[in-house]
Amino acid sequence: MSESRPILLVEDDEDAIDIALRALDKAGLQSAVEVAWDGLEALEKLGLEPSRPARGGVSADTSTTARESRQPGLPGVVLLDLKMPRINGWEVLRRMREHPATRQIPVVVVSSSDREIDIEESYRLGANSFVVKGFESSEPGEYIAAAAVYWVRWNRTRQARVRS
Amino acid sequence: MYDSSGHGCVRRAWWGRLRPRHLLPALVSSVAILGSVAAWTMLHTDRQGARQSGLGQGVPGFALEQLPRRSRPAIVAAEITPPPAYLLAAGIVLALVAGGSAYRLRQKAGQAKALQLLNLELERRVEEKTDALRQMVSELRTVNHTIAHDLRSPIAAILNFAAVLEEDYASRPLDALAVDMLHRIRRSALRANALLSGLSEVAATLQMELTLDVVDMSELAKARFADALRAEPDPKAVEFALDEPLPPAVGDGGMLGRALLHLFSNALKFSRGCVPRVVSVRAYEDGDQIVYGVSDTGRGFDMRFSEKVFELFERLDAKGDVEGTGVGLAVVCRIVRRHGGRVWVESREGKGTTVWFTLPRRDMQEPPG
Repeated sequence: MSESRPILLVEDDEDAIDIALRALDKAGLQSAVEVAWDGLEALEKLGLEPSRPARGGVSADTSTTARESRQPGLPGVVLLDLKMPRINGWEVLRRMREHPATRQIPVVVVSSSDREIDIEESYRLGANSFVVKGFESSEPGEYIAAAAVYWVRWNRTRQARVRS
Repeated sequence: MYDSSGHGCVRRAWWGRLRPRHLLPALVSSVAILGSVAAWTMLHTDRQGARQSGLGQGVPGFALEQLPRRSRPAIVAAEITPPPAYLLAAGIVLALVAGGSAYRLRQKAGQAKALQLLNLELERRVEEKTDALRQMVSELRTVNHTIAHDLRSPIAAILNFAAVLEEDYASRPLDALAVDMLHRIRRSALRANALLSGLSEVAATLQMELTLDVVDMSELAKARFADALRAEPDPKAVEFALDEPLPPAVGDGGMLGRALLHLFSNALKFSRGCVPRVVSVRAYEDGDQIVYGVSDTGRGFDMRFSEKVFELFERLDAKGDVEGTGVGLAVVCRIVRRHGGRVWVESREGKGTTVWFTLPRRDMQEPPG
């Protein structure tokens, strides 16, 4: 079981984060959820980018999530948005797949885009799943909860087996 | 050579295009004709002279006295007898034909050259159009990307929060949480609207015809800064430093004004709360370019992401601390590029940002005021 490991939600849109958190909460997973507000923060949390001291003004209030990043416990699954400030989802994915420590962490790309090229490129870079941020369903964030439950509760990765 | 109106080579009167070497064939044929006429004349004279005198010339075997008297004046006549008219006429005709054909050849060469220039010109235009098309395609791709990634987010938020409200508040009165969701719905709708406005501004920037004029950049900067300051909650805290006089620009005043407005409102936005808070404009001339810079003493950003700031709907601040859609610099970039200039940015975190842009120096008839 990798429910002992956190879920890393990488998303820059506040509303989307709240919807996702609500849906994950409803799904009743044991996992803690960590939020990275863009690709750079995600890389910092994954230990692929030296975490920087909070700068004056801009990211001072990200320290709520930054406290865990000091000693990054690698997540059981990464829910990754594509279009984000500074470093985008593809870059995060590429860097994750380059590094042995993060190579096998399941990555679910969660994007509002359903374009072929976005899906293709995500899989090419090593995504395990591609979920389109749907909003037609009556249950907001249903897709993200379902994806998280599958990857955290049912899927087995080599790392998870070694750990448990 | 292209003339300014792009009509291929410059036309001149035919005599203007004559060169000494074009007259060479005519000269040669004339000399030849004259030579043959002279030769004919000499021959003719010789035969007559040989028959009639021979004495004066020391031709042996002949004596003047041997000739009949009446033919003597004929000697004189023979010496000055012009060649027959048909020979002269033939000579003139030949000379004309030779000269004419040389000129025709020259003209043909000229035409071939003109054709070559025309071809080059056509190639250049095709290249230009292809470039424009390529640019259009890349812009379309951006728009497509934007619709897929950016426009859907606020719509998703609206639909999601509406669904949550529906689900959670079907049988109970709205509380603070519900009101917050309503607020977010409204905010998302406004954001979708702002994104659409941004998209249409970018489209307008690409489509609008440039009307070039001499633009007083000092005046324009002052006016646009005043406009930008109007949206500022605390205008007293801002110092505006204009390095007067700025070199005048040749460009579309409306478009350059819009670019400046975006630069100023960015400078104001990203320096909010910073002390001192200075927005400055300066310029210098660099060869055939004029370089303008708009600086602030704001928060700055990490130069690793300096390329991203010019992309449409790209923003560098996570969590959206600063309002905006990421349209401003994308529009500035397109406006400057349409003027044939370039844009770049220098920034230091916590120190401030300078956006530099160049405009090519062009000659306008009226002297800059």
